[in-house]
Amino acid sequence: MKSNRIINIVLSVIFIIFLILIINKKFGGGNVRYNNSSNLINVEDIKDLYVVNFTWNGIAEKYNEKNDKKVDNYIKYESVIEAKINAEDINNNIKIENKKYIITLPKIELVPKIIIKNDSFSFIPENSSLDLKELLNICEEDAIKEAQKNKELIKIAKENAKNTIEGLLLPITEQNNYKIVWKEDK
Amino acid sequence: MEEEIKTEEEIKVAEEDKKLETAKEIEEKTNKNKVIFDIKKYIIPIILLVITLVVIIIPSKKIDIIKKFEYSKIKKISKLATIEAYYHNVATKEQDASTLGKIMFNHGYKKYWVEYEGKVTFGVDAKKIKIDGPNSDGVVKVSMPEGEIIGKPNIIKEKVQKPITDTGFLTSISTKEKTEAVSLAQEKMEECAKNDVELLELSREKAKKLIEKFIAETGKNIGKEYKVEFID
Repeated sequence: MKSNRIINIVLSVIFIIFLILIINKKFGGGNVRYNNSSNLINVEDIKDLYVVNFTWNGIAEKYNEKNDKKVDNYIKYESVIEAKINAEDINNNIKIENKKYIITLPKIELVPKIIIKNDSFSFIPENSSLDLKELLNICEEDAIKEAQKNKELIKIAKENAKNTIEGLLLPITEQNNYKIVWKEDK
Repeated sequence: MEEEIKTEEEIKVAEEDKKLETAKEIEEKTNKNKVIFDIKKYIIPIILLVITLVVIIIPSKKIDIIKKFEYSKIKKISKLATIEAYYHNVATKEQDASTLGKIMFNHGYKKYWVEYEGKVTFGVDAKKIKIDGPNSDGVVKVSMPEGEIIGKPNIIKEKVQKPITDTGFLTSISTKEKTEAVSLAQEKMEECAKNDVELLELSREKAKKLIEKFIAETGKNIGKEYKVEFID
């Protein structure tokens, strides 16, 4: 019958289309080209002393906008969180008392850097289509949260900052018979 | 007699009704058989279609086990950062459709272009700064190490432009593909920075000025006037 034949033809065409899509998916697309450029546009002065590198490989979650208990994407990422102080502030908080060079350690600041290189990310579901900006925001938030939980990190950062500053000051303070004292130790 | 005639009429009507019922039953059975017979004709293509749909279109959302993968490592460093260099980067990925894909309305063809700004930090290793003195003339001798790149290059999120994309039939660009394109641009930026002798030298000069100021302020704090001499 005519209608049976038409249905048969339509189903066959749809099947052939999907067969081609499967074969294409399995054996990949055509040529792939990457074209990148990088140009220096500005240079700014800074005065920071970096004291700790905290390597964190974690899994971040992207929650559904309408249902904040549902996870749309899981992202495995790599990051480095750097702890730093403002080097100029070191001598801004000095007190001299009875041959004591009393220093207040400047505040430790945490700077997250998400590593973007081949294989530094993995996604569930695999075909996730997050925006680059959104991806960086989610991963940075997760990395900072984990870093802030790590009390050892801040402790080591403070210790190393003190050691580095003492290394720069000691040749001068020792020769003048001054003792370096950290304000919180007083 | 009249009763007998009525009965005969009744019998005739009953027989005719029976014939009608039988005819209807036969018609229904025939129709049923027709339908069953048609479904059998299409059953194989329908099964194949369903299998194909399941394989391609319906994504697997079942997650059996998620293990939180945690790896952390704290490393002490002492890096004096003196300049931040900003770069304008363009990352692109372009993929042609395969021969088969071209038949299928360019399935597999994709283009992804994104512009963004990245940052590289330059400075010196503070552990390698050697401070000697002061001598009797109030001169402090300092040996300053070479300039270097500090830490990993960074992407400035606020300066990531909206990407430009183009795709063929039933083709999308995954986040993984986007990060692959950007990772190559990051490598290029880092390479440019490593080879920039001027910036490396500038970071060293800035470090010298910072240490000079630091030593002068320290001396001032303890009532001394110091002069810094750099040993190259």
